[in-house]
Amino acid sequence: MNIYLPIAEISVNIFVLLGLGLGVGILSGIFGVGGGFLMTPMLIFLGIPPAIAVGTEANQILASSTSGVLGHWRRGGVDIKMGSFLMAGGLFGSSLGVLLFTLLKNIGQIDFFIKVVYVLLLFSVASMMLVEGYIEYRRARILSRSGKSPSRARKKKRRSWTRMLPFKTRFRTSRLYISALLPLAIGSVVGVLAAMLGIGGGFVMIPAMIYILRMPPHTVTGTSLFQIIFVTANATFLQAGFNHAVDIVLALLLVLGGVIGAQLGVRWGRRIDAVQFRLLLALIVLGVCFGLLWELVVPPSELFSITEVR
Amino acid sequence: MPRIFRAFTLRQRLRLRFLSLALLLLLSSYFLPHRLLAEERIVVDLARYDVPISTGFSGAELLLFGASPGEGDILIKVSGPAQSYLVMRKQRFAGLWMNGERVRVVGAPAFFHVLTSGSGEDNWLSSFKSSRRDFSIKDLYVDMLGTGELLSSAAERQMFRDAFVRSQRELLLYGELPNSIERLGNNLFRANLSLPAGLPTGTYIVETFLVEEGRLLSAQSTPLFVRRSGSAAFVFEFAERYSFLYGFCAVLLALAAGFLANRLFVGR
Repeated sequence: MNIYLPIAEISVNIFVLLGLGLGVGILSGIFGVGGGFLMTPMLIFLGIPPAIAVGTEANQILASSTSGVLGHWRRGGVDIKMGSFLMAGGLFGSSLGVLLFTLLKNIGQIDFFIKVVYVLLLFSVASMMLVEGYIEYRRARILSRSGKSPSRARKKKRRSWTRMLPFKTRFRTSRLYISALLPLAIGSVVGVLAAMLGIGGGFVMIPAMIYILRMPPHTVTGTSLFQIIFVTANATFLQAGFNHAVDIVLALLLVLGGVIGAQLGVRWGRRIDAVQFRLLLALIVLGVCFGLLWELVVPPSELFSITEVR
Repeated sequence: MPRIFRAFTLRQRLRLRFLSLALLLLLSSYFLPHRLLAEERIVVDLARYDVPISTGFSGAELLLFGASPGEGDILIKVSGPAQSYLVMRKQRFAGLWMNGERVRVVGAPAFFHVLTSGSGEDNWLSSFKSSRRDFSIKDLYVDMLGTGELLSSAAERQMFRDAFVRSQRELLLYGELPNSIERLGNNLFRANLSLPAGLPTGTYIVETFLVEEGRLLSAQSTPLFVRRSGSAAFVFEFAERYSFLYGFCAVLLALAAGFLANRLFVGR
């Protein structure tokens, strides 16, 4: 059964869209990732114009992050002060991102840009996952062989450059005393990425929070989701306003599939061998990455592309 | 439409309409003075005058039927609203293919189909075409704007034009259908045109011509309205006219969906 998407202006099989939402939702439920970095390329493969895929994904991530943040909120896992600084950077970054997006769209290079950045991004995500997965796999084997926990390498105490920045601020929930410039800068960079690529940016934000800001684990996910809500709301608003790139019908279908998928994913995730499954996800991400790279490198069968202009 | 017609299915209604038209034409040929008939007017009607594009739209069939007074050949042209396009050619840059040179195609019909009785190779068609420009895709006039010296080369011009037509043909927006007009006897004819799922909206014009020995005997044109309808129309209009308000609504909707999902599944 086909459904006509009013903004994308194409007719797509409704079960394909629901299935896509379900599939990506299951993966995000198992791994606790947003899934935007998988969904946007998939939508592009389906024939949705890249600009509309990106704008609509921001809208979908807004919905899934809202449902996700509430649980963390109740458990006190949201550092509102840190989240606000990240959000301030994020609002600036995502506005800049939409502006750049509009510029690139007007000179006809947005599709190229999206594909190139996705190839780089997916490749780095996949290799990070593979390395991490391999280390965990080794650790699990050593554990099962010796029966005792492996000796962890002691953390190097080094005076990082981040300690020397001005405008130090106290973040009580995370028990940190760091420069306010750091969350502002991180928020801005992730905001640009989020607005231009149709992602929440959690997989860039969370490592940055852990390794650069050194936030405690219990506040990382909640605070990341908290600021994603504001960034994606801003991106949705501006993408719809300037670029007519948000398809509500498409977003709602993806949300429907995604919400159910995420619930299934969370339930299955408890029973599945997480290490092996993470390797599988890394391979999926790598596959999508090479799919996009293939489109960029192989001489296209059709050299010309035609777009309607108003 | 008379209420009695509601009892019939769409197909039956079409047949009825077709039959009544045929009957009317037969009767009129009996009653009308011979002088009027000699004017040889071609009469065409569409099974529907508007094509609504709703959320479930996946293409439609357009049925044309009519009566031609003479033995001549029939040509039906269906053209959509004028539209501008950007045609870009990919070129290699550091091993990657990206969009390079571009040409603007201005005011080309968004939809263009020519249906003819007899094959397109027939003499009548070529001799007829020579007098008018827009009876085939090959002769269709397309205005092109480009920067630099790109368009000063006739070969380059042709390449961009060909690429545009090729793309439109692949999307089933352009086409030539020889032998597609079926004669039913008694000077009646019918034709069927498939409209693709990605049909552009706007006002179309259906023009029908009767040609005999390269001479135009009679012509008639009928409008056809392709418009979004139902919720698809509402969403599109809203997003187009009040884009920031639409964005705000999209944000609220997503927030509501998130809260609802949390209530239903997570926050028990």
